[in-house]
Amino acid sequence: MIENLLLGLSAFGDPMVWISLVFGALAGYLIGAIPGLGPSLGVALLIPFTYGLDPVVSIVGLVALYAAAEYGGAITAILINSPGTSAAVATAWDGYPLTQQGRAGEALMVSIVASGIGIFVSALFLLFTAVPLSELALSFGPGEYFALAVVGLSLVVGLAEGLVVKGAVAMGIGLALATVGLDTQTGVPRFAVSTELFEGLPLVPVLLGLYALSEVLFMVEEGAAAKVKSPPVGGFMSWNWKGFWPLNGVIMRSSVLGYVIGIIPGAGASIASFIAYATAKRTSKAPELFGKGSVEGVAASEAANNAAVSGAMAPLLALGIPGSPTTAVMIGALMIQGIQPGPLLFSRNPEIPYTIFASLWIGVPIMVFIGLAGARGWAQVANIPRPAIAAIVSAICLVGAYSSEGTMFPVFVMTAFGILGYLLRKVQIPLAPVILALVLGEVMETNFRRALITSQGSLDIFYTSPVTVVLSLMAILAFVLPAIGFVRRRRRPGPAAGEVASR
Amino acid sequence: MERLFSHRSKEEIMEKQPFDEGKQRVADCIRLPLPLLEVAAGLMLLATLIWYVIDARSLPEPFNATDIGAGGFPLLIATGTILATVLMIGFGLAGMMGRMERDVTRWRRPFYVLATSLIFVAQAAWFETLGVYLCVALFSAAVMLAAGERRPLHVLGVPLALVAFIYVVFAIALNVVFP
Amino acid sequence: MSLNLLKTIRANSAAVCMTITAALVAAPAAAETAWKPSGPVNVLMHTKPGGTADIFIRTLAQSLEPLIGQTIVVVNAPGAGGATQMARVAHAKPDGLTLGINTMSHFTSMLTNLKGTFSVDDFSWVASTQEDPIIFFARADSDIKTIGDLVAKAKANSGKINIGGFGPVGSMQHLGTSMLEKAAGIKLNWVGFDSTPDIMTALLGGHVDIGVSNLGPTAPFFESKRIIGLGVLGETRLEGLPDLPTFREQGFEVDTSWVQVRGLFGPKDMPLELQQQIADAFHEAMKAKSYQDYARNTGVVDSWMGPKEYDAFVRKVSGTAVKQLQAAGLLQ
Repeated sequence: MIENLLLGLSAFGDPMVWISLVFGALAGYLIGAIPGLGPSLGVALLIPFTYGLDPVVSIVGLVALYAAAEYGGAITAILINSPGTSAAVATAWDGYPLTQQGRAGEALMVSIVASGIGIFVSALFLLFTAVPLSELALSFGPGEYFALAVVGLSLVVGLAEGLVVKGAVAMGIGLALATVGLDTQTGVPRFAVSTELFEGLPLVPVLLGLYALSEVLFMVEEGAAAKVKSPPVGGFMSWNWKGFWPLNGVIMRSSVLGYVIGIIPGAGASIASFIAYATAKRTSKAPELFGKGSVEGVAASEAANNAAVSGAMAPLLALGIPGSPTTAVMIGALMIQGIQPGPLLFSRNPEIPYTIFASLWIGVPIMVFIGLAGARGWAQVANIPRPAIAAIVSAICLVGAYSSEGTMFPVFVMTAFGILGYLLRKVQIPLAPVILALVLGEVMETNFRRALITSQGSLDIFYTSPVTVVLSLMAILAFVLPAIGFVRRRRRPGPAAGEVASR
Repeated sequence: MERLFSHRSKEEIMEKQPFDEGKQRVADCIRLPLPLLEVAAGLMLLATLIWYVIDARSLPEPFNATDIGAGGFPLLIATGTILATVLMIGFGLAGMMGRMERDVTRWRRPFYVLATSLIFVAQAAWFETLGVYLCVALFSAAVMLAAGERRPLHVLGVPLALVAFIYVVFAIALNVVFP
Repeated sequence: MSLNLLKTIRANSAAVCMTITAALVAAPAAAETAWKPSGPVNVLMHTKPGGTADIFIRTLAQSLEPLIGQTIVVVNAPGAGGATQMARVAHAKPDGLTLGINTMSHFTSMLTNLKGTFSVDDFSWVASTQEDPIIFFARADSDIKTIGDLVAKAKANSGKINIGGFGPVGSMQHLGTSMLEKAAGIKLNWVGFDSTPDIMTALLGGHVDIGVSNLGPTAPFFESKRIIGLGVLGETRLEGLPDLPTFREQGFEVDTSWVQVRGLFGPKDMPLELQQQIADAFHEAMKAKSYQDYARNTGVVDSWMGPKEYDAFVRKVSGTAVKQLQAAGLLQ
């Protein structure tokens, strides 16, 4: 292993590899930051440039782009409440409130450092556990996927913040929206009023609409009067690095969680960040801050979604099975280069997996440097007057939605969900459960039905496997415990009646 | 949690001005009781869900006897959501009759919010006819006006800067082809 | 460093993209084919990235791009039975800048779940490029080692053997399976997946008993001895897997014309001349060494039908599909 690791590191003797790494990291950082474009599109965009390159050079660039793009999503999530990918949604839950409190620079710093540590730690795990854990991940059958999705969904309880009924309504709306489109088992169209809806609701435009565009309407409500001032972010020396100490535990736990969930093919960065966020909230000393501007929330979400990058690499390298949409695109890139990812990769082309390990580690400081340098500039975005921010967000959403598919349809979807999001927030129906259910709904349904088909219609499949039982228990506890707390709280006299803030 | 910036001074921390509750604003603000909204939204949601159920029931039976079919899961979802919605309407009605705390929602600057919503619809509808640059320039200026910006230099400058940014990043760097 | 090397994404409007791509395409390509697309060509796939057809077009794009002097942009639009992609192809302009890769599943789904939504007449069938027989396989440690074992086990546990394959009920691979069921007098339990990697995950994890796929995406698993082949539904053995006997060799008579085809299609009303040019360009690109290496490695057979022949083939195969679907009880 040491020899192979040296082999991987020796690839960095070639200046081309460095160029590829830096280019990939920069490109990923920008592509991730633009709402509408994400890591899988970014990797697909870069592939044509890798044809003529050495396989090692190209894989380093692609891995760097993937990791940096997964981070880049945090920037717009924090600054303008526009998560460009579903994996950055949990970052927006706390990042944007922090920005509104004038702590944008802090949120950006935490997100980049957490991302860096997430990648670094998970890459270390990847080196030692890629093969055994990938084999273990194969035991995840339809029943287990279903249970995992339910665990993710149980987060709704935490996100609904006491509004149990409205949380349930929101979850129902999200799940119902997830069923729109062609059915995956029988192929019949469902609730699709036009053929464009056959593909289901495109996730990114829905995210942009519900979060960013509805936020524009709230900015319009406030008018030019409201102002938030973020302090300028100073140089590297002026930072309170000790402030990171309390975050250590959260970042480490989230990194491990993100890595493990990332390994399960198809679970991916969004489920990883949701579950890490929920875990962080449960283990936090200040859970009441979550959703209102908790630095821990940002750290948990970002560490997990970046650790999931290494996680997704594990089944790709060990088995040739992509762990995420982005790694699926990478398989294509490798095969074009004549390299077959799969069980023989480690013996036949050891330079590929070990260069990936090396590039994840060497890429981290570069990525963190780019991120920190950028944070100084980005933090100023929070100081732009509200009307201008409103205009910028609506324009970027428009252009981002259009370029996510290159057609008008996502633009229409985004606009409709922007207005819907505003109304839902006015009725105080929380948006987070809608998104959570929309992301998890398809995984849930497909695997629920697949499970029933493989078990010949027997429900045994949902409680005979230990993994399913553990996951289901977790989900049940997550649903039941807060409900008991809710009932208890309700017995006490409620706060005096009064005006409810508009958001 | 300790703040991460040690150099932060007091006056820098937050300058969020308390919302101006002056005469002009109050006139510019609609107050609606939350329970009423809950009932109204609940009824609309219920109507949509009934359409959803009717549509789900018309989906074909599965080919495989062990599959619950295309309509099975949606019906499950609909049942749960209808239950939750009815509860929400119930709480709303109880609230309207004064049995529960009366919450009030404030809809500030309703005219401008409505105008901005129309701007959104218009920019989506005319995106292809106007082309991306004209569309962004016109409607982002309109959004700024709606959001209360009255300084002419800003209203002109920001849209132009935006157009330039979109041209550089999307058209040149990423080569997205816009209408 | 700027991103302006990234000269991709997508093109719908010819005018804008001409100016931009003209500035960006570094070297004018060798003008070897008559097809001169005015901008990047979007090729829509009905699978997630990483599937058989996906690797096919990505490999072909390498040799095709220099020939036509434009970028090939592979756009993945997965969704049940290919309708997701077909919707996008059907709505595109018939200018040759939006094409789709089709497989046998396109014909079967237009007869079943997409009946009334799309028909063969809604598209231009431009060229065929590959034929690819389907194979059945099991985990290496499975007690099913041949089609004979499968049949024996399926007879003992009727309908209890799970078979994982691509697409919903009525898809190409499902119909191939039901043809085997009919020939052997057995019943298998079909579990549909959205992508071939998902089938492999489920098979290796033991969640389905056997799998059906083309050779391409399963080749590394054969090579590493994680899976063993049961049989090929084809006239002859596969070049890439010479030890695997055909169904007929094992004593099961199944219609061997039911092979996977991969072809090229576009929106309807594409001028025949343009179709011919596109077909020629694709066939020319298939002769390149990089493509031939890939094709031999994955065991696919090249296919050279142009627009006229392919259109006729599509209509003929749709007729066969109707019979298969009726035989499987999916179509009255």
